[in-house]
Amino acid sequence: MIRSPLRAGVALACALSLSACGGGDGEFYLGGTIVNNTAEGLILTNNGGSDYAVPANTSTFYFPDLVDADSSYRVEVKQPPKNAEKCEVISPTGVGRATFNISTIQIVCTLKSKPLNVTVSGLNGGTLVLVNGSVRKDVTANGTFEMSKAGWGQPYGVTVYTQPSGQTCTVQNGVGTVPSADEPKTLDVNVTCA
Amino acid sequence: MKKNVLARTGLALVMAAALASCGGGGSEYTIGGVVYGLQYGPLVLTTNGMEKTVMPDPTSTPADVKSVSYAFDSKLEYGEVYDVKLKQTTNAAGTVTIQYPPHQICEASGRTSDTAGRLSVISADFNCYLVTPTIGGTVRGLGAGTLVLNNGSDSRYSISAPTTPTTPPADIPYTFSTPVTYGNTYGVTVESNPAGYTCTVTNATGTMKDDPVTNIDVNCVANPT
Repeated sequence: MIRSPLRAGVALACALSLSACGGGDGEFYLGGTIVNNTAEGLILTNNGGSDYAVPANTSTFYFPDLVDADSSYRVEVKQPPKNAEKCEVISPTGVGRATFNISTIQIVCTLKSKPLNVTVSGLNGGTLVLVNGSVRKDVTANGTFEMSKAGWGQPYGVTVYTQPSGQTCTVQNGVGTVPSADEPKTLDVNVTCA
Repeated sequence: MKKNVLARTGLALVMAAALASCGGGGSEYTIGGVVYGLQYGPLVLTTNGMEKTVMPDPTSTPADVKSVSYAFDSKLEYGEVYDVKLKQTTNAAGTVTIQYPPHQICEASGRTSDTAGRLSVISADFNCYLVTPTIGGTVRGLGAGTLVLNNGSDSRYSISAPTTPTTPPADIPYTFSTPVTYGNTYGVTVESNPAGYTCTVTNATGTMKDDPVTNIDVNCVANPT
């Protein structure tokens, strides 16, 4: 008697949140949230079972197969989205026992990134301060250094925070969007002081 | 007989010593807790007419902010109600102002109000965060298209001309959706110009203080045809 309304609730939840629910014959749905799922390719498994391909640009997920009451589950990332370095099951560990519907599994993907390499030339003894938003670099010598890393699809914008005394430095190719592709390997910014 | 007197005297002394700490039904409950994330002091907490000044752990670094424990100097009796709050001041007009520690906001995170004795351990905890004011300014001369600004790799913000622009174009105030944490640098650049315009930023860089930055102005000029 208790099972029927529960099942109805699950079915309703699935109908509302998913188009492809209800493959399994279990009791409870299993899911949670995803951060940085911005490209195709994310595949999740439960207990090493069949692949569940999560669509891009979704921030919540539910396995199409329901899980049995009191069964153990183990959520794992089989493959990250194309633009992500990796995805981790953060909270809880993704392992547990289903005694109720589960929507608390948190998966966090780290976007692939490229180094933002800055080459300074013409600096003559002073200190040049550059920023890329909250990243600050004090430069006292000519040469190339890595300012920071920027994720695929994320913006970057290198600007002069403080000019060296007696000189004016200008930034070339300092602003843009990081390409969502393996090439180029680095983003190269030039700063010329005169 | 003599032995007995000695034993009795000893017992009386022990009892006297033990009772002294009981204090004859006096105050027993220490009101205190832990403050997390405190980077700048002082934080002044109040309850039951008492005031306690909490300072950051001197060994804290921005990357590793240590939590600090505090306790009010006087204890409460069983059944007394406590309500630990940040100190508030009231001006002549009756406006109440919460006194936050410098550059920070603090919120209650534990059970900061209750009745002494109801819980075996009183933990009136607080979480403190650095303030995160916004950055923005005014866009001038945007007659058409969409301007994309970024604050380096931290955030991006797009501003579009109105669908029915006026001549000359109206000033458009803007504010980045992503705020900047106190003490961090910001550097606003034009990520992409609106079609047919070239935009330049003034007051583009700075270090965040306590208040919103509203002077990062952008001037757009139509390209020569």
